[in-house]
Amino acid sequence: MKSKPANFTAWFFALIFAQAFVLDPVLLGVNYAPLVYVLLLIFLPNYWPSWVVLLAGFIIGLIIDLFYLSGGIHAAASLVVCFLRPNFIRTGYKGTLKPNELVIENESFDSLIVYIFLTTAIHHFVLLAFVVFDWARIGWFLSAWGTNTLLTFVTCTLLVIITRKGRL
Amino acid sequence: MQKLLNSILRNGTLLLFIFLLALSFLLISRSQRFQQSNFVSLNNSITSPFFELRHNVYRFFERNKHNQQLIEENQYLISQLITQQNKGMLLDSLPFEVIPVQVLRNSIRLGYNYITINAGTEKGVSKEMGVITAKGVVGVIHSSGKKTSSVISILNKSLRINAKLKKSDHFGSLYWDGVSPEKMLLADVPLVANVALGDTVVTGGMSAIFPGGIHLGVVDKILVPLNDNYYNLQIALFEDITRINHVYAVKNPSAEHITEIITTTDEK
Repeated sequence: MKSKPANFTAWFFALIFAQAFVLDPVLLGVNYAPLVYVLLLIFLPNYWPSWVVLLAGFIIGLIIDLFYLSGGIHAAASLVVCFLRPNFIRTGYKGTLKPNELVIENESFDSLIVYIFLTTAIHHFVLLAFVVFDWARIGWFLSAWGTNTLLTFVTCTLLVIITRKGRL
Repeated sequence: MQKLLNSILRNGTLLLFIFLLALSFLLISRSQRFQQSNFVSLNNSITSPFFELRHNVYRFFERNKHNQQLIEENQYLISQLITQQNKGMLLDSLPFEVIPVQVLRNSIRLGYNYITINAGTEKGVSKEMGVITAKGVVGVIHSSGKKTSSVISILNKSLRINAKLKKSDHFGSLYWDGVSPEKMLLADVPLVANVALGDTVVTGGMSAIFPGGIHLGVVDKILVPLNDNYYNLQIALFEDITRINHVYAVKNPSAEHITEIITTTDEK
């Protein structure tokens, strides 16, 4: 996936559609389904001002909330991830001083993997914290967090590999 | 003033983050109180056409399974009707109007879950009607549009249903604790009820929403809190709420009359 506006728009509709109408755990009859829309948060154009990134993340989360009837938990999780995005970029792409000048396509795939993992893990942590909200269910929380994060991470990574046109 | 403006401009992103986060919290807290969940009604009107489309696509591929389910449910209902007629309980069973509807969407992962069904005021479905299947209770209509309605699922921690033990008629209050979609809790059953594992629990009928005698589940675990005169019973539901497709909205023609009596009694 590239961060060009046209590409991003196409991915936006494709991932939102897939998330709402295909990767629905109830529809698929499974406990967990990957939250692939996280890829949208990861590939929001870096050159966008930070306030636009925050607003975009919030709106993406809110759209998912509309489809999943989940109040605002996806919006909150997406917002937190967008706020922390510069830190994830600095961690994944070591030596990057200005995240808004980073061109992901020109950087190594290993860095991208770290970036995807961090974003997914924190997003799911916040999301599940809102779903559970109960210390008595900490065991369930950790197990759901681990499973969901892994599932989303693997799916997102595969999607990125498939769409990178053979360049790893 | 200038300093304040400069400070706002400097920390604009942080302030926007805090504002949007507060907005998320507000949406979350509102969605968890079903009386105020306008969000549910609003998003039903926006997303229902998409879910209707999705439902139609999936229904095409699963039509054989669904038809089979319909046949089984109809068979069960007819047999129930005949049984009731033989017991001479026509007056208890016939007044209820049953409207078959389909589930378009069913959330089960949250603490406060909702279901969307493909029938609204056009088909006679209205607020505060009960929703059941042949195997148990599904929820209560929360709001109705013209063609769709949202249902407060029994897997919603806000909902309490009047239920009783079939063998002894002792009443209690059935609710979901947010843990397993297959289990619910029945509270306030007195110790004199002498409950045993496997006892059947049915709806109590002491409300304008559900008729009495609808099977809910069996006693799965018995808990007696220390120094308490009431049981806390864990009930294993007959119906798998995560797999429902065809359900029935139940209309009690005496609902208004019953509600009026309850209100008058409460005021006294």
